[in-house]
Amino acid sequence: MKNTPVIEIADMHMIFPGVHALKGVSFDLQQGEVHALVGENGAGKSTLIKILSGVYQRSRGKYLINGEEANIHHPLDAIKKGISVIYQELNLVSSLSAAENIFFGRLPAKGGRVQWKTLYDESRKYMEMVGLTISPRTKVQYMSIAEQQLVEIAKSLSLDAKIIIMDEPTSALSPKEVENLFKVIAWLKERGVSIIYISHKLDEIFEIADRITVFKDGTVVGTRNPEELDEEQLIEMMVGRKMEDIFPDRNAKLGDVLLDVKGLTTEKVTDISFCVRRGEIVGFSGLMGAGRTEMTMALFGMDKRIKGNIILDGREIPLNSPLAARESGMGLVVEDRRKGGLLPNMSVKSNMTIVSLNQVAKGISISKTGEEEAVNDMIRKLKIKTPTMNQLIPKLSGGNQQKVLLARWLMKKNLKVLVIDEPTRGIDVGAKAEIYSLMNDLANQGLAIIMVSSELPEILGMCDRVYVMKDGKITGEFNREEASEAALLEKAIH
Amino acid sequence: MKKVLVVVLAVLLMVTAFGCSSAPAEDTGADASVPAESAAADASDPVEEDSTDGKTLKFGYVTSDMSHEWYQNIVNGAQQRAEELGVELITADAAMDAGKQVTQLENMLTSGVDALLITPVDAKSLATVIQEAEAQGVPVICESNVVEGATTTVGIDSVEGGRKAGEWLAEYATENNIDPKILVVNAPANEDCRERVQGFKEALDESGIQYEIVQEVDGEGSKEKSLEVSADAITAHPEVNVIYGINDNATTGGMAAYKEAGLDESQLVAIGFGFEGVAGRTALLAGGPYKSAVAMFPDFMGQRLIDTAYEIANGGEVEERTWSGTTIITLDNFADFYTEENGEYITNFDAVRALIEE
Amino acid sequence: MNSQKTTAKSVFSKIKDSDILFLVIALIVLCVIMALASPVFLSERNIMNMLRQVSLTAICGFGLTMVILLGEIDLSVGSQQAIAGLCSVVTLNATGSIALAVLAALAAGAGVGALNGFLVAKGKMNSLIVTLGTMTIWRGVAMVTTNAVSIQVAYPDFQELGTGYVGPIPNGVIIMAVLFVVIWYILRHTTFGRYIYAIGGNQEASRLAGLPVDRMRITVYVISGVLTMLAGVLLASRMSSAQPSAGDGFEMTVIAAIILGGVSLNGGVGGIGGAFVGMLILGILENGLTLLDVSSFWQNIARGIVIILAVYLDEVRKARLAKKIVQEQKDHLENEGITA
Repeated sequence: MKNTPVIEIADMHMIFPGVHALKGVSFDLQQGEVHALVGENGAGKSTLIKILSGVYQRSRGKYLINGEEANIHHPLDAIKKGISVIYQELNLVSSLSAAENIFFGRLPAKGGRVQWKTLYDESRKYMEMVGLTISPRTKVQYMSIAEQQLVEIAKSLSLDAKIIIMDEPTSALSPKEVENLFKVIAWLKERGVSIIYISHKLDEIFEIADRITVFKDGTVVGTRNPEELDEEQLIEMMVGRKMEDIFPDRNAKLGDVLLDVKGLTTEKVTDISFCVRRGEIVGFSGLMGAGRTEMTMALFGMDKRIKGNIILDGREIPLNSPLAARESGMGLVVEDRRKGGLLPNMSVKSNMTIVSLNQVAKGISISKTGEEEAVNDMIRKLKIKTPTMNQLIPKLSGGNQQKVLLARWLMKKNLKVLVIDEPTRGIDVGAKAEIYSLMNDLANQGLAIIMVSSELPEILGMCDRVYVMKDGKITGEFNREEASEAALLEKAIH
Repeated sequence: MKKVLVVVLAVLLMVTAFGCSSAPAEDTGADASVPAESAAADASDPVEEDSTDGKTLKFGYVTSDMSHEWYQNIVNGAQQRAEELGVELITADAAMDAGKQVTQLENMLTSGVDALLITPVDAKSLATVIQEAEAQGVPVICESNVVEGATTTVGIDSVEGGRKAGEWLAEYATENNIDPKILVVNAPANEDCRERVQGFKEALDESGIQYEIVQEVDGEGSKEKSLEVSADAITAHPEVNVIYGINDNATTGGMAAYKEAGLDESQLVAIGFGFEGVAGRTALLAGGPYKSAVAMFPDFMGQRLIDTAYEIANGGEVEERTWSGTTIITLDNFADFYTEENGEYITNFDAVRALIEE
Repeated sequence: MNSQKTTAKSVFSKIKDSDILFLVIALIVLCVIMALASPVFLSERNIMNMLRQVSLTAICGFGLTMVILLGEIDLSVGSQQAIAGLCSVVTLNATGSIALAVLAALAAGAGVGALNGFLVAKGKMNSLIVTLGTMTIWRGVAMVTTNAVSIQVAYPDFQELGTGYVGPIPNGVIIMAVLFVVIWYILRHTTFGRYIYAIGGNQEASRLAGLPVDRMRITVYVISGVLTMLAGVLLASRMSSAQPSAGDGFEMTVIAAIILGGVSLNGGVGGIGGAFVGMLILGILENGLTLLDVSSFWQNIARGIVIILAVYLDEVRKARLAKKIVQEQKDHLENEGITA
């Protein structure tokens, strides 16, 4: 059944300033197949799809479409050849309607006047194909992420796409929405559309992929049929190590209570009471919107505290001041790195030392050597991959950025409690394992860690104790032994 | 978002408020008082009856920019004269906003004035409002700028004033054996100012003396800018020994630059077209380089405006242009035109009037 | 000797790599052109004259650069100059003390800056709008309190401040030089400076890192207010009067120079060195064109073109640099024997 592949790539190289992102990659896509690309962040998947879709020009290598030289020099060329990409961050204009987005830039018009009826009728046709029942007049800003995604797929269909590339399509979807998306994918397959599917979620990949290609460090490790291997073997291919090694063995030696929170209430969370001991990792689990991130904001004094007390190491933390929280020995690594963590205009060094400058300063001046020593020390300890400490932080991979943000707090000499919101979001498996092991070490050294996470395996694998939240309140508390996926979910939903 | 909107509105309100109230003279706020008055005016004050005896005449004056001393003094003079004649004068400040000026003028027309006095922000924007005034039989008197359709324009003759400065310099240079190297501090965006310089040059040419204009700079009529550009010009031409400025700011700014450059002030002669405010008078009385001024007598100009309007409102005929006086003032004749009273200088109006009656 | 050489070398390489290289070249080219066109340009007298004029922009601009680095803006610096003149001249005429006059203006600067900072930080309002408001208010205050009539200085010694010299160098230039060094050091080598860049780069992240964001914002506005008023006092001294219209449009001149100097209006990017070069370029342009007797209308056009051209060429330079790095990488691969 091996026909001419719709896409064939051979010995593809891509070179960026400072990075050899693809090193001789070969890959093919058959008609009507779902071909999954997996690999850690920075393994080269995103680069490959950007070459396929004309965003980047390859440095070297062969790129054939239906057996002919692709000749794609611009994203528009790719669209003309029937290639559509649905990026993780969707490319829709939120103030326009679904229909206007589907026919963006090519609204049906007669004599300069838009034919609104034709536009809505045509749009409805494509929207129905992907099972979207909302009105084509609905503005994108009022749609859920899943609906927006379907609008993008409808747009691809209206462009007569033969190849649809989906980059992490399910990262923001609920299980039900994922199910619906898979139905649409199956339907597309039947129509002979080929799909390149990129995801970190391996269970999904086993569910829908016809073939899986594994990337690592800019090369292809191999292409397999899903029947040939199981999830563990796939991870081994991706990271070169075994699954059970990801979580370290927790041997918690718990000390006295370090952080005691009583009745903490803000506009978003109600009556939060919990405690964390020295050397303990405490998890906060719950569904999206359960108020976990809001709890961290309340804890750190970002949101206005209506009532309640926070006692750290026997001392009360004053109201509404992140500065006071920090000075009392609390640290916070936020969920959204780009928005609330990184200082994008600054170097790795400056990002790292920003909360502990007083430790490397003499009087008002920062000691250059003192600062550089401290930073080098952290880069070594946390195995941060960066050319120099003066590299601008946005140029690092997600995992390394996360490590810098952890290092930021670890540098603080009086750090007692570290709050980490989604410690491994957007981070590849290899870096995940490193961060878990780091957290384990820190707890063993006597730090109290609060870990907020949506990923149950992570909660179960790391935490000594787990609180479950729902609607801004704590609904359950479990010891390591009592905690199970079912038990946590029960409290999170009920 | 809402917060931002509220703030923007607040700011706009403040701006408007300041725009209206920055005029220090009594400003009845034509905008504010109109609605109530106009209703009353329509009912009981038909326009035709206004000029009959026993009725108080009412004039409206919209200036272009009350943040300028020149206009403040005009309004002061006008206000004073109106009181003497028993005329009610309402004023408003357009604050350099042509659109605002038209609105203010329209409001005054509705409130039933007997004459409109205007210092135009932009002559071209006034056509409609002047037609309206004409239709209602209200005469329009413009200050300085000639506007089509206006009954008359009261102003000073800038070219003539400039000539007086040139003639004075020619004479002074001959008497004191000076070879004038002149720095002109102009504000060429303004037509009046260009004419002040034009007349100055004409008179110098006609006098037949040797002179050179080494540089002409744009001080935009502000002391700050005049100082800055003059400083540059004086570094390029340290031989400058005469500064001619188109107003008090231009002249004193040029003088400050000369002093700052470390040059010998006793070698400098400064002539200013000006006396629109106190700065020029102070400089002249200080006895330094500022030797003579072409005085514009803004308060007298205010008087002329009211007199002209009064005459027309009482059925008199006036010519298309009405001149207000200018003259050269030096320390020798200063006392003829100004009398000191409690540290303030009062213009001797009779002396100024004598100038135009010559 | 040896260490001196390496320092010189490292300073050179720093300039070479830095973002202001292009600006420095532009400045030098501009100087060469002006020197060729006007024999007076390079005379000591003119250089001092030009620097004295730049010093007024710079003293205020250094403070404003910090505000912009912080990700905020201050449109009220022009009006503040008028207030500075008023405070100092009124105090001077009342007390006869130059020290008190300067102090009064600086205190007013701290107050005005604190108000801006407070409204922005605690009132959580957009600084563009806040300072647009205070700009109008202070101009209004200047007009109302003086009836728009300038106030003459009654004690001529006051003029020494702005027009006097230390040796051959004007006072203002000395003040500018000292401030430049101090603020350069603060931005580069102190915690305070690091915080400014952090807050300008990502205010939310800075808050979450427990930086004293609001305190920093108020402090920087106070510094900016004090420096602006200092410049305003020097201006009043040069004019030997307080002009209610002083500094009208000044904010735009300063902001243009700072942006020309590579400081991003988004905050967190750029430095005082670049900003100063930007001020020099605009100052020299104005000085040189007046020396050459170019009409003021043409000067406006020239200034606008220079700003746009400088920013454009800077973009071109950045793009070329990126291209060069890619080419180097390719050559490197070629050497390693990876071929198509």
